[in-house]
Amino acid sequence: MKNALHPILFILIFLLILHWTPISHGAPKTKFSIVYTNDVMGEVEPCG
Amino acid sequence: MKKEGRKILLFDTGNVLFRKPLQTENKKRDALLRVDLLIQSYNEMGYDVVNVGEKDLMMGVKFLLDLTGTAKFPFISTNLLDKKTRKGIFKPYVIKEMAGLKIGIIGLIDDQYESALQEKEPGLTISDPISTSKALTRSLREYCDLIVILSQLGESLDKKLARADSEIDLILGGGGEAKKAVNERVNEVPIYRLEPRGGYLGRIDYSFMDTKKPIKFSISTERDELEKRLERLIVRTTQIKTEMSKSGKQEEMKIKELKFLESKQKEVEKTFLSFEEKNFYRHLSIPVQLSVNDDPKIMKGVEHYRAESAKIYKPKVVSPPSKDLSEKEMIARIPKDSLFVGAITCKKCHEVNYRNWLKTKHAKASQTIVASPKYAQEECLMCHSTGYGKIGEYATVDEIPFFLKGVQCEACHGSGRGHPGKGELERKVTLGVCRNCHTKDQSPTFNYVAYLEKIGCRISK
Repeated sequence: MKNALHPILFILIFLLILHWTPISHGAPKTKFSIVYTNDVMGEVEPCG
Repeated sequence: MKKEGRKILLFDTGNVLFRKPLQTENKKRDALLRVDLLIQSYNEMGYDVVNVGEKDLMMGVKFLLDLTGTAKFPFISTNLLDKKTRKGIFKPYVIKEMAGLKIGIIGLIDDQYESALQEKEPGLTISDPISTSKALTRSLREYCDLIVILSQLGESLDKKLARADSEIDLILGGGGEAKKAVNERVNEVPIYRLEPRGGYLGRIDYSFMDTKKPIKFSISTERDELEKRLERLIVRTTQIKTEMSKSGKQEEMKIKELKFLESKQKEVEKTFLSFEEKNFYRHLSIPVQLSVNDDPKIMKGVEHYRAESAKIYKPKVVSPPSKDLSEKEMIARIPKDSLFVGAITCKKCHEVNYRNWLKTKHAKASQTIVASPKYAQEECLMCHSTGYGKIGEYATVDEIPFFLKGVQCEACHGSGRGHPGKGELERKVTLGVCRNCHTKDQSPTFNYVAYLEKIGCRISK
């Protein structure tokens, strides 16, 4: 009986840890950026 | 950013090749050199997609199609079509994969250019951007997690598009008459556009916790305010760094302000982390000045362009007068075939006006650009000398014919050869004449009445 509880306890503890760690909550799965330019030919230098 | 290992997609919303109509053969040759430089630089920077704008078609659609051979990125246009087949001339869209997500990119051009386009290219047509986009986004949604529009529609059409098509996830704006940057959400679709006249880089950082379709984002006014605050901090930081770099001084007050701004920036960045628990994006508009270092390979290309461009503009040789010449002798040295005769000739009958003009900024207009680099002088000479383009094109202030330095009588009133009696001399200098040079960019404080007073001229209607 004692031995049989071990795997269940193990799973419960594992799930609890997983629930409270930042991996499951805080860290995003995916990250990327879009970078863009517009009006590049519109750049005008002041003449004076 | 790519070198730092960040996953990024790099886009341009279009109108990248040409700026103004190519009026002379020299301007055309110069523009072609710039196009080479631009393609080479965009290849080097690793642009992923560039939208087609109406100015990109200035040299014809074939010219642009030929460029696709040297460009490592695709030019796209969803609504620029072959009139007969109704098929796209360029790729109508591109799908890019980024961190396991599929991103569909669509390029739109404003159909108000349809008639101007057909004069040059009767085989082409521009379909209605909104209905064309709607039809495409519906089918793309099946394959794509995000749909991005690269737009040349202008601010109001961008908003109309956002209201009409909720499948869109992001609109990056360009085209139309831009007076300021755009950063707003319409129908939950974010629309971004950078400050006009270049000089900024836009960046949208995406962060996903849940990539199940359809992707939803957490949006709030608190987050928006934070984003604007961060942007203000970055702009001010760059301003101070630029000022310090220009002056070469390490002023204590500025160093203190810089430290304060940087600590505030870190605080805001930390607060942003709390939003990352949900799907989240944030936009930053970054001044390029000091934030990005010059790439040596691109700078080499720029130097090559400048050297080749300087060879294009060769002045008509007009020997400069010796200092000891009398006015009469100077007038005698003005070529008889020159359309422009110079203020010194006008003086013979309009001495009071001439003496008055000598005291104005117009008389010294060529001198104000002497300190600018050579390539900038080429850009400025059209408005900082008289008769530019009509009597030849020159590259530097030193090459201006001696009798046409400064903004003289003929710059506003028209060339004086044949006057009085014949010739194209106009007496009326209307607001439109002044606006040829006193543009909003170059002369933001221009006021017709006040400025006429400064040069001692009357209002013309």
